[in-house]
Parts: sequence; C-alpha cells; structure tokens
Amino acid sequence: MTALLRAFGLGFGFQARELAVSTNAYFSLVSAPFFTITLLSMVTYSGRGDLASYAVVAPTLMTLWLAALMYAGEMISEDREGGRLELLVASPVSFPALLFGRLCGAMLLALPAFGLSILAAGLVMDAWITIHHPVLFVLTALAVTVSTAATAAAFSALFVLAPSARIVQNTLPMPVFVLSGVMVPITLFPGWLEAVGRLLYLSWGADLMRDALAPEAVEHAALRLLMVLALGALGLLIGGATIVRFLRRARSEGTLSQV
Amino acid sequence: MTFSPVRAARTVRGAAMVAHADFWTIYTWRSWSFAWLVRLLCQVVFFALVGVLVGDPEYTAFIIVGAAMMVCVTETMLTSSSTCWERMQGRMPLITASPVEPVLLFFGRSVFWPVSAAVTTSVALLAVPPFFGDPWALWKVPFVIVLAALTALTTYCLALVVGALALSFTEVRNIASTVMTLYTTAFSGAMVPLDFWPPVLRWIAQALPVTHGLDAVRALQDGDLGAVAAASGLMLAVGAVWFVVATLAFRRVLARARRGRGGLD
Amino acid sequence: MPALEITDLTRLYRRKGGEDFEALAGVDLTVPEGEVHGLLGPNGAGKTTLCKIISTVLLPTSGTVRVLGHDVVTDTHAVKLALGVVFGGEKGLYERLTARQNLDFWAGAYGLSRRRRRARVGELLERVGLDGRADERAGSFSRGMKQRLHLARGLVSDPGVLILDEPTVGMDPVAARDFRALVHELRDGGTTILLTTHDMAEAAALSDRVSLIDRGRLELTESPGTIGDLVSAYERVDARGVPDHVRDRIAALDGVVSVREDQGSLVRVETEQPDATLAVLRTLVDSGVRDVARSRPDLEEVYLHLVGRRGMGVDR
Repeated sequence: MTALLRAFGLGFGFQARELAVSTNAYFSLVSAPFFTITLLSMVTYSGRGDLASYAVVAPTLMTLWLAALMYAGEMISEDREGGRLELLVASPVSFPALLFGRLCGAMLLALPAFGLSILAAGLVMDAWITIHHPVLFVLTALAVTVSTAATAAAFSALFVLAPSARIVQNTLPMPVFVLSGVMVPITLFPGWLEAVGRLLYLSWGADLMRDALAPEAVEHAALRLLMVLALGALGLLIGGATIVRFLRRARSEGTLSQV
Repeated sequence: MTFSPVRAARTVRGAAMVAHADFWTIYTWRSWSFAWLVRLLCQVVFFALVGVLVGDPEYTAFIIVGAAMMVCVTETMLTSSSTCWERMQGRMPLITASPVEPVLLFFGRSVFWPVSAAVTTSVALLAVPPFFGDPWALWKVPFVIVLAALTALTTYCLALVVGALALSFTEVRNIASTVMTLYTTAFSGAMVPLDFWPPVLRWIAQALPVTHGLDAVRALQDGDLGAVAAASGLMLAVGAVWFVVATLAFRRVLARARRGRGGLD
Repeated sequence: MPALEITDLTRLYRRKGGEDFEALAGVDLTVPEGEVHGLLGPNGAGKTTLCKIISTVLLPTSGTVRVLGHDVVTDTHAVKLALGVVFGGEKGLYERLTARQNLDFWAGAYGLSRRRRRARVGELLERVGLDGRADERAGSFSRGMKQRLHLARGLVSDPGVLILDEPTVGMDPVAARDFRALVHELRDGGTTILLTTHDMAEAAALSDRVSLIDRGRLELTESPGTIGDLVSAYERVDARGVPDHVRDRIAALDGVVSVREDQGSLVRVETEQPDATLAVLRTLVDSGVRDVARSRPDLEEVYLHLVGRRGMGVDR
C-alpha cells in the first residue's frame, strides 16, 4: 500500500513539475471563459439569470474532462515513443499508481478554469457567482477532479491497447457532456436516458456542484459525494487492470518499445 | 507572371488530391460518420438542450440553427492545422521555389474541411430539428444544403487567413483555430441574437461570413427568399474579401521566408 | 551465488504471416559476483534481447534467468530492486525536465526516500561530471551528456548488478574514456556489470571475461586477452589488378587463410600471422601491383575465424 501511495505521490509531483514548464498546455484553458460567456448569454437572454451558476459549472467540468482526455491520450504513448516505458517497467515502481498520480497532477492544469469561468462571468457579463456552500463546493471539485483522473487512467489504457481508439479522443467529449448533464441536468431527460447518465460520475458531480452554488440546503451531500468517488474508483480499477494486462502482453510480445 | 485559369485549376486540383489522401488517412467512412458526425451532432444537441432548460421551444429552434451552423465553423477552422502540416512536413521550401500562387495551393490543400463541413452542417441543420418537433418544409431542403455549402466556402476563406497566420507562428496553430471557433460561437448571433451584444461586437460580427449565413438560414425559416438572397450576397462578398486577404497573407509569408525570416524550415 | 545465471534461454518473436524469429537460442551464461562481463556481437545478434529479458521488460520464451538468485519471471520485483539498467542511445529522458529532476524522479521510482534521494542525486551528478549542468533541461544536452545522465540514472538505486546495453554508442572519445574510468571504479566497488558492445577494443579494455554472441547463440566465453590476441592475429590485404599467377603464389604462402575475389577485380587476402601479412605485401609489391591496402577485419569476419577455428560450425 505504501508503495502504491509512494508511486502516486511520485507521479503527482513529477507531472506538477512538468506542467510548470509546458506553457503550451495552458492554451487549453482558453475555452473555459468563452464557453462561460456563451452559455451565460443564453440563459440571460432568455430571462433565466437564476441559472447563471450553471454557465460556470459546465465550462469548468468540460475543461477538466478535455484536459484529462488529452493527457490520457498522450501519456503512455509519449513514454513509449520516448523510450521511457521500458525503463519504467524495469523499475520497481507501480506503473498504474504512477500513471494515476501523473493524471491527478495533470489535473492541476484545469484548476484555473474554475477561476477563469467565475471571473469571465463576473467581469464580462456582470454575473458574480456566490458560492453558498463553499466547503461542499471545494470537496465536490476535488472529488470530481480525482474521479476524472481515474477515468482518464482507464482511457489511457484503452488508447494504448487500441491505437484506433484515438478517434474516440475526439469524439467522446461531446456525447459525454450531453449524457452527464454538465450544463442541462439529466433530470430533464427521459427516464431511460437519465438512468444511463447516472452511470457517469460526471453527472453526480455536475448536480452536486450546481447545488453547492445554490442557496438551498443540499440533500444527501455526503452520499452523493461518495457516489462521485465510487464511480471514479470503478474507472480506476478497470483502468488499472487493463494497464497491467497491456504491460504483460507487451512484455510477452516484445512491443514495449514499439513506436 | 500572368494569371492563367488553367494553371490555377491545376494547382488547386493537385493540392486537393493531397488533401483527399490526407483526409482518408485520418478518417474512414465509418469513423467519419460514426465518430466525427456524431460528435458534431452532439454539439448541436448540447446547445439545443439549453433551450429546453430555459423552457422556450421557439428559442430552442433558434439555437439549433445557430449550433448547426457552428458545426460549419468548427470543422472549417481546422484548416489552420492542416495548413501547418505543409510546414511541419518540410514542404515549404518546395512551395517557395515553385511558381504557383500560394493561396491556390493552400486552398486545395485543406479543401476537404469545407467539403466535409458542408455535408455535416447540412445533416445537422436537417436532422436535428425534427427531434425537437420542428422539421423543415420539403421545398426548403435544397436551399438549406446550398446555404450550408456557401457558408462552408466563405468561412473557408477566413480560415485560410488564420492558416496563413498560423504558418508563421506554428505554436499557436491549434489555439488560433480554437479561439476563432469559440469567438464565433459566442459573438456571431448563433446562440443569442446579435442585438444582445454591444455595438462593437455587432460590427466585428459583420466581418464573419457565418453571421450572414445565419441570417440567410433564419430568413429561409421565415420563407423570405429575398432576404435569403440579400444575406447570401453579403456572405459571398465578405468571403471574397477574406480570399483577397488570404492571397496577400500567403504571399507575404513566402516573401518573408525567401528573405530568410519567418524560418519556414 | 552467481550474480547472473542464465540457463537454456530462448526467445522467439512472432512475425506477422511468417516464420517465428529466434532472437536467442539456448543461451547459457553464468557471471560471478563482481565480474565485468562483456557481451560482444554484431547488431542483431541478440544482445539487446538478452538485456531486456534480464531487466524484466521482456519475457523469455523458455529457459530461466536469475539475478542474484531471483528469477526474472516469478520474482520480478526483487530483480528490479537488485538491477540497474542503462539502454544505449539518447532516448529515455524527460527532455523538458532538468538533469536533477530526471534523476530525482528515477530515484523515487526505485523507492528512495526524499532525503536519501537528494543526497544520492547530488552524488551521482558529480560522479558523471554533470554537477555543473544539473539544473539545465536534459533536452538541451549533447548526446554524450545524455548518455552520462543515463548512466547516472542506472546507478540511482546503487544496484548490485548493472546492465549496460551499448552504453558508449555515439559518445565522443573523451566521454568514452571517462565512462571507462567509471566502469573500473564501479567494479572496484564490487558491482557486477554486464556490458554489451560491438566494439572489440571496448570489450577488451573493460571486461574480465568476454562472451561472443551471434544469431542468438553464445559462441564462446574467453578472457579478453585471449580474444585480443586472436583478433590482432588476423589481418587482411585488399589489392586490385593481381595477375592470376601472383594470386596462386600468395595462396601458397604460410599463414594465408584465404584468397578471394570480390567485386570483380578486387582480391582479398586474409592472414593468420603478422609475418604472413608482410610476405603477402612484399609479394604483391614485387609483382608490380600498386593498388594495395591493408586493414583489420571487422567483427563479423573475426567471428568466422574464431568460431570456425573452434569448430562450432556457424554456417555461412
């Protein structure tokens, strides 16, 4: 267990350091304020200023997801192309734990999106958001971030197992954003579609975040928070198992260093 | 060098053949329809649902048209990436050395984006509204397709200018197209009417071909063919201006390269 | 307990739609603790495959490999802890990070605590002569510097056994000399080293024993002195425009192994004694042949001689 934690910590610290020197990555933050302005203009135009907080939550979750998917797509294949995958496998570190740590570290990239969206809403649209349940908001943001990294770990395994899955990287975000209700709560969907959406940690996270911003008391906060983490953990388990399987196969076929 | 239409056509055709090959290495028929098209349609649905959220069916119909037209912009703006492929694959010196008019070459080079965009935009415009209870009248369908194609073509002219910029600053190539797409989505009258924004933004929007494309499609919804023609004419004019700008921009990029600046290696 | 114990090791690679490729065929090798063992062979001989299997990144098809008594398939974790690995070439570094950050990461991967990490990294940077450039990005390093950083990386866990796969490829002469000094230093400290190379001089200068590997088979294991003697004994003379009767005379000389005609007019003479070379040269010059060159054979040719002499039958 300590070995896993140490691998996680190593990956986290490593990625945080790498992030500090890769300025290009921060470009991906630009979409958050633009999306905030677009969505906010839509609710304002239709006289529903009460939904302003929705227009802040959605872009931040979207940025988080896009960043996670971007890193999931690159991390293993970059190590492989850079001749580092073999060295990592030759070292005693737990590769899945290291990868998860790195993905969590990479999520630091998306954190400023929260601030950018809130600022864009306030400065451009004069809609200053009040966080009515700050503790819950921070906890939810953390839980969603960790679960996003966990889900990304599962995808990173998929990307490396099936290179053609890369097309998924481009395709997946939009359907997921719709299905998990990052902007429009899935309670508005027909029952069967809502049920599908409930399988995604992101739908629980989006609901809880919106509730944390609203003045009303939040029901079952702890349980829902747990749900976000549990669904994330499921992703991590699947991802971890897939990665271990991939490494085993690559070691047997001699394809660890293949470009 | 005098302008020869035959040579120009050859340049475009030659480059378009490269484009064709590139496109089908990125996509197969299956991945294009199941992945790319689905992604773009979901984008339309994503915005349309905001209309459902605020509980206004009329506004929902407005958003669907806007979001569908944004599909056109999203896809066409990818031009700036594919323009840079020329540079990254080290073909710039060959282009600089050849006698072709650069804009024609780059026009052909990325032409698969507007072609694909015309199809995806048509599908989005035609396929999404029925799901929200608002299908097109049959006689309007050909007009929808023509307008989608014209919007793709004119937006492509603007995208080429962005591509010329990205050619000089390759590190911004993805961000340039992303920012253009995001800006257009926010401020071209796609999601909310232009009147919602202050005058400055309204004026800037006039320079975006898709603003007039949106006017044309919305006029078609109202059945006002005169307004459709007027908006289309304006869109073509704006597109033509961007094409001239793109011509000059590409010439400038290559001239700079020839003087040893801009490092097109 | 030997540091490395390889028994009947075989590795096959699946080839799409073709026959399987046998990269290693029944390799047996035992390296006692503290030995520097050179693994000498041409490209594609199976050196890298062997290194990868020892370092647990490739599974053997059959046979066993033990590192300090730990099996590489069943006791992977213990093997990893006991082993340092340096694969040749420039790849394998995090180019955006500094030399120090790279080493710190790998020290972490080998489970060193934060405090031990700092001390170890500083010490290693000094040892490979990178302490002055420690805080520069690895991506900005020259090839030689990158290789030194790789070496430091391999030493990060202070391993009992060190695998060096073609560590000096592309190193400049000064760096290569420093590298050799470092290998001697490590051996004096008791580290067991398996070093692969296709450079005979390097193998001879560094190793306690040398094994020759070719086409996945370990052909023989000797002290470098023996192999060095054998190598220096072989020479060859190339000449153009040699009349037939002169060729026959040369072929009859003592110590001449073979006379072959290559690419039409080129005649290649191979000798087994230094005196014989002299006699061949004299004969050629006396017969008025002016286009003459003398050279050392390359590795593959020496194989032919060495392996052929031992009657171990490599069919070529």
